[in-house]
Amino acid sequence: MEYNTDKLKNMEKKNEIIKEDEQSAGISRMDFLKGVAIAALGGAALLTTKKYTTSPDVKAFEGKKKRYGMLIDLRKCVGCESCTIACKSENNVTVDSSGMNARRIFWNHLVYTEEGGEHPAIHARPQPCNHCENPPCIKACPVGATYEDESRCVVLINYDNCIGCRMCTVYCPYSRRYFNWEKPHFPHVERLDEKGMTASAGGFNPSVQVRTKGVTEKCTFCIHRIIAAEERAKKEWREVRDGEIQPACTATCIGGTRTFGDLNDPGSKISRLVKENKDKIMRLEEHLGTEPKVFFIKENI
Amino acid sequence: MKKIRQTPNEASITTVSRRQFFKSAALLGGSVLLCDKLAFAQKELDAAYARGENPFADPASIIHTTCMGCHAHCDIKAKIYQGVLVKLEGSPYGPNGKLPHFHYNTHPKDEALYDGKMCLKGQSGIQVQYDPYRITKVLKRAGKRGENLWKTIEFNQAVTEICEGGVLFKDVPGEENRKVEGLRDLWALRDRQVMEEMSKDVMTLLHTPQGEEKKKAVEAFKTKFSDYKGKNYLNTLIDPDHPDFGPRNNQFVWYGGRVQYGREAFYLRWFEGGFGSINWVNHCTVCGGSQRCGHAEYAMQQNPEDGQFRNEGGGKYKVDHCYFSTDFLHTEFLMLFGHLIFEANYGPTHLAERVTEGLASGRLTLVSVDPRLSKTGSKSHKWVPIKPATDGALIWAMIRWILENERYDKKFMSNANKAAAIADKETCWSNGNYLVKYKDDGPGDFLRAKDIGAVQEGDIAKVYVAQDGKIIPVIPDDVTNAVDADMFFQGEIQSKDGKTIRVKSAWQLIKEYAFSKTFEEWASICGIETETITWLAKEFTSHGKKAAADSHRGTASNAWGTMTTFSLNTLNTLIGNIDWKGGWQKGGGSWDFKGTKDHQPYSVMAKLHPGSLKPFGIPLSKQCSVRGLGHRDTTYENSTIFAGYPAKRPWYGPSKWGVYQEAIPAGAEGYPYKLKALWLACWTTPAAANGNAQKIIEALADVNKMPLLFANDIVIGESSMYADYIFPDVSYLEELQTSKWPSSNMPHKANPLRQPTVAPVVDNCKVYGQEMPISVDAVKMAIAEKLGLPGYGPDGFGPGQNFTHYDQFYLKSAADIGVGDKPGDDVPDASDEEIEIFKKAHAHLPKSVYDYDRWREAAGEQYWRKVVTIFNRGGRFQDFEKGYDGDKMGNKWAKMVNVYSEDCERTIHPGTGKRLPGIAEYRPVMDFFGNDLLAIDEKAGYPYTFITYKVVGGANFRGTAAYYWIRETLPENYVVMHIEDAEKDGLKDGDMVKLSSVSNPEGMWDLKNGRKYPCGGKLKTTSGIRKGVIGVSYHYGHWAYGSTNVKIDGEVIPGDPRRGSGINPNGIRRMDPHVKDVPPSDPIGGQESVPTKVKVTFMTEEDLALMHKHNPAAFITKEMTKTYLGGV
Repeated sequence: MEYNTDKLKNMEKKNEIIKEDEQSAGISRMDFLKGVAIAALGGAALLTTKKYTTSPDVKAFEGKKKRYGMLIDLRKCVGCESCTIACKSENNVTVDSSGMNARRIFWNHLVYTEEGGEHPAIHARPQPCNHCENPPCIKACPVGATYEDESRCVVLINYDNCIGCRMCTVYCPYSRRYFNWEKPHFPHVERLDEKGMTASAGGFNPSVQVRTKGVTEKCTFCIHRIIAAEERAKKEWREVRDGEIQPACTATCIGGTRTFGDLNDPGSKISRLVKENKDKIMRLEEHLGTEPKVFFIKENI
Repeated sequence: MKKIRQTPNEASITTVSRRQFFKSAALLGGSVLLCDKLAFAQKELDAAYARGENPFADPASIIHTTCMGCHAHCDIKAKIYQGVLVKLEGSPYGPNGKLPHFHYNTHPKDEALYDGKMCLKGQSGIQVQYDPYRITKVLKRAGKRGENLWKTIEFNQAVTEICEGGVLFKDVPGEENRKVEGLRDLWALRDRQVMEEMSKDVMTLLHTPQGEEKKKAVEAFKTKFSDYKGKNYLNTLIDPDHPDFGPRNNQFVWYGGRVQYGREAFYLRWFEGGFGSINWVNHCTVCGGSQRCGHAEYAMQQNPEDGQFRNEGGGKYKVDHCYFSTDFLHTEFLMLFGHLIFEANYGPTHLAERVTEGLASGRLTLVSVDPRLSKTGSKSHKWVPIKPATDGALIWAMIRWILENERYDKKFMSNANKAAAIADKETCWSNGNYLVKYKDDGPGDFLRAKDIGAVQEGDIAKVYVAQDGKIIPVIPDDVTNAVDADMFFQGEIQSKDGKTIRVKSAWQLIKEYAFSKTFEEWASICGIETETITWLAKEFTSHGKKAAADSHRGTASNAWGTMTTFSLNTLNTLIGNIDWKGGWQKGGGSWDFKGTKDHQPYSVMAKLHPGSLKPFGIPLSKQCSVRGLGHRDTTYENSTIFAGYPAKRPWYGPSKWGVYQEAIPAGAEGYPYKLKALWLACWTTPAAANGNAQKIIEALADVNKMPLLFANDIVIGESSMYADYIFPDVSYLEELQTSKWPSSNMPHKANPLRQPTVAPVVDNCKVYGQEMPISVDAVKMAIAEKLGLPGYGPDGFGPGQNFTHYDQFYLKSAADIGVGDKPGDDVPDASDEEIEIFKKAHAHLPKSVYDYDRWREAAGEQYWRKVVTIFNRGGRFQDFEKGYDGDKMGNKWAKMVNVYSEDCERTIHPGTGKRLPGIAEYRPVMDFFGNDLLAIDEKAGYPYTFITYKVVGGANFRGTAAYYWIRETLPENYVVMHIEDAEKDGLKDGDMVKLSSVSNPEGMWDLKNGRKYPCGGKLKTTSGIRKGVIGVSYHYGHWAYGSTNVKIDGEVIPGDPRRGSGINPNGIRRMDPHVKDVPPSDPIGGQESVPTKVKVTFMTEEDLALMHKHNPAAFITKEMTKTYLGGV
């Protein structure tokens, strides 16, 4: 990773840095508007020019600085939902009040499969966003609110731009995108003035923006933690170390299932594990060509 | 103007979110402060990010503490922002937080960058801390018990009323003239010397033979104390004709829930040493009491001075150990009896990874013995769907097979003393070879020197073994003369008066018992195929020492739990796995946090408690001793109310923690004496968690049975709602306590520490001139101040050592931990840099919970830097490598283990009048008269066996009410039934069903306040449960805890009915048919028996109407959760 020392000396001039990053990522306001026009015409054109890998092999990717991915070892997942809950806490995710299962928002979600009969079993598969390299959600978004952070290969949402059409929630084949049907509800932060019950409230994780009713949200690979690690590394004049970035789900996992890292770095733990476990690895819905970046080591059957 | 934002974490907060917060502030009314605070915070954060800083990378914004989501005591850290808790993480300093954990001397600056692991309950601690239903002010009931009409009352006024008593409820219909005896009246005996003298005489009285002699002793006692030191002390007694009841101080009873050890020490110092009551009751027997007792029997050691085997809680020959578990990280074959390592236990956070690594690598073969297929079971190689409460039969089948096929560790089992063990490179040996004398009714005590001849010096510790057929003496702890013995021996020996004594070795007794049934018979009792049991026994004995049979509650939660757990230990002894890597371990233990070692500065319970009282008398729950296993003082047979068999109520084995289900009904009935005041605290909730919940509700609601009832609680809970006064309490994220490990499944020595992370939300009070948050500790100090209890206030710790804030106790304890157990065992002093970090991290805390100077003074200047080291890390933790020592564990038991218990065989069952066995024989669930209760109920037409279990999101009973996020994953629990059983009964998923039993044929909860509704809910069918078994989990079915409306000062506080979702199955639990108000219970460990025969029937229209009215949450959750946490 190259550092422009002049840039670093003027860390206060944030806007310049952002603009430069935008240009290097190839996304500009004009592109988004173009995208809107294209979508309006019913076309399914890609909004950016990209190359995609079609296999889990690690290949240096042209034009990309980091290619973050996640590995989940299903042999070790105990289906406890700690990742689900840690994510909710970390990312200020609402508590659903409707009572409808479908309205719950789980950026990380556990999918259970039951086997009945003579040898019953229950299998749990945790699912964050796959941060696809060919993401249908970006294609779906008419206003470019969903976009790819190309320096990190992370799919993100600009909540300000989201118009709440929910096309992306339909396009995602993994159902990893959620819509805020209601005003978000935070029992540990909100307070009503009640006599005898005036217990003071907690707060949000200030690192993560709180969303509003009417916007879509999803897993961000804890982008705020990624940036924090990168900024720290920059300050210390070094690369981000492999394993330094821990999304909340990865840190909290009690089974030790998750590995997060840079797939562009052949020496990273995730690249190594993907390679070593080639015969046991799977990704979800590969035939759709979404190129998901979450890899699973299959359970020992 | 909106710029394209690359990353969602920056900006936007300054535009959209601020707008959002201003808008919502108006609606919430009163949230303006929050909004301003956040806007300020966000501007700061923008600046911080611009500088490349992440606030949580700075150790000054982190406080290390210990979780209390369950009883695992996981090491955690709290991320604080602008004085508010915003996120919790695991702490890599502790063995729960990371595998392997960071070295203790890791600098906080480096540790801050790493988040450890933490389970979902731990993460939800933020919702417990900021639960909207937390109470902040003291409440007094304005209506009848349980009516939920409250008024706020000033703290000092509440303390005064409780202490002075009087006509306290004249505005409540029916109580206009009811005079309440206050604590001052109950604090009858206050003179330490008199108490000691009385205690000594009562001990003598107890050991005086029944009949004329005992009568004379009572008269002598009365004469002596009617005029002692110039005063008549008889009126300090509950009943002068029964001095063994003790003083009236004993009529004040404490019920504690999740207290944990530091606070327990504080409270015992107060309750016993200050107030002088013997009736400290912990919740143990609702769940784990017999587990611990079974392990305690396994751990008995010889007192060389009298040759007796005991597990003493204190004193020169202290053993004080009641837990053994597996070395999960290295074991190769693990049989779990109802031991949900991934879901419950102590706890998933550290056990999961130790085991999943083995599952992935293939090191480990995992077996789950459980009537229900849990998630743990699903990941196991084999699920053994055993009949409930028959684990002992499976264990004996395995023991039989192992003995028959001689696949036991002969070398280990032949060792008869310590020297023999050491010679074989073992650290432990068993008492299986020791010869047992026969009495008329069966095996009795060990053969001793006094039985066969004159006792000489050094003979007192002798027991006997057979060696090549010849009977020889052996001293168990002898390190010089190695003695190997014959395992299986039976023979005779002449007594000193020429009689013939039949003797058998304990292993011989075990073998005979194992073979008393065929292999097929044992298999049939537990309902498992012989092929499976053969496979289990073969596998268990095919991994050397790297195998274990472990249990958490599977062997314990029935009326014979102590013996079943004892049999589990017998099974482990056959492969001699104790102290071996991958085998059985005693756990890392903890440093002494009470300062009892000579080397430690503060003996907070003893030397630093001037004038402390020493309570005596028969405890209400009638344990036979509080001094530890092997002592028999306050037994039924010794008491002045002995009246033959059956006794009027159950009496129990020795324990310090009382019998949770017994003390309240016993006190209500007045056997042995009446209860006058009851204090509920620390999440205790017998009205919901006990098997006799329904009976306890009746007792609590009755002002005549419970004249004075007060509680500390963080919400208005299921039990505290019946109280006369509820004081708020600090949450575990606001409290201060030093502690120790609860169990043995952690190989590393450690003391977790809990410290305030944020300003408590509760109001403050002033005690001894000091501001402190209203909490259990504060109430104790306030009562001490009001009554003048010894050991509190000015000079409370001794001359010139004031005890005016509760934190002074814990800081002294922390200094003890910092100094360690012996010279050279201390933690490093904190550097100046660490002191600065400590100061900054604590700067946001109010003086009521933290004051640098007060803390430093309390710890002592010379120990302060050690205390800071501990506080900066959330405890003291042994480094990972020290947990292991070559092929053995680093922290060794290195003592004898027991497969025969004199303590058990000396126990006479109070219902049947028969002696218990000395080996861990199997029994079914028996009632007080020894009848097979499940068989009786089955004949009465109740076909299914009810069991309970925990789900990973729940922990204890308090479980899910406050856990909003967790309830999204599992909104309610279900009546779980095998799919074929359901089909047979015409039931299907989602049907509203209720349970009923012989004890509750209507199947109804009656809260004694007008709320009556069926004990039931939605049905869920599965293949993952044994046919004939019904499972309903814990944690749900709250009827208070913010789920229901309450009225405070005339204003209705609306509840959130979703918090009450699900089923609390305890309403239908089986009561003992003879005692009637307690479940059948284990006669030694006291644990209440869970399995209950039930019927499952459709709810009628009437039932559904009552559900709608009184328990509507079932109808709020729109669909069944497709797959529920805890099984297929």
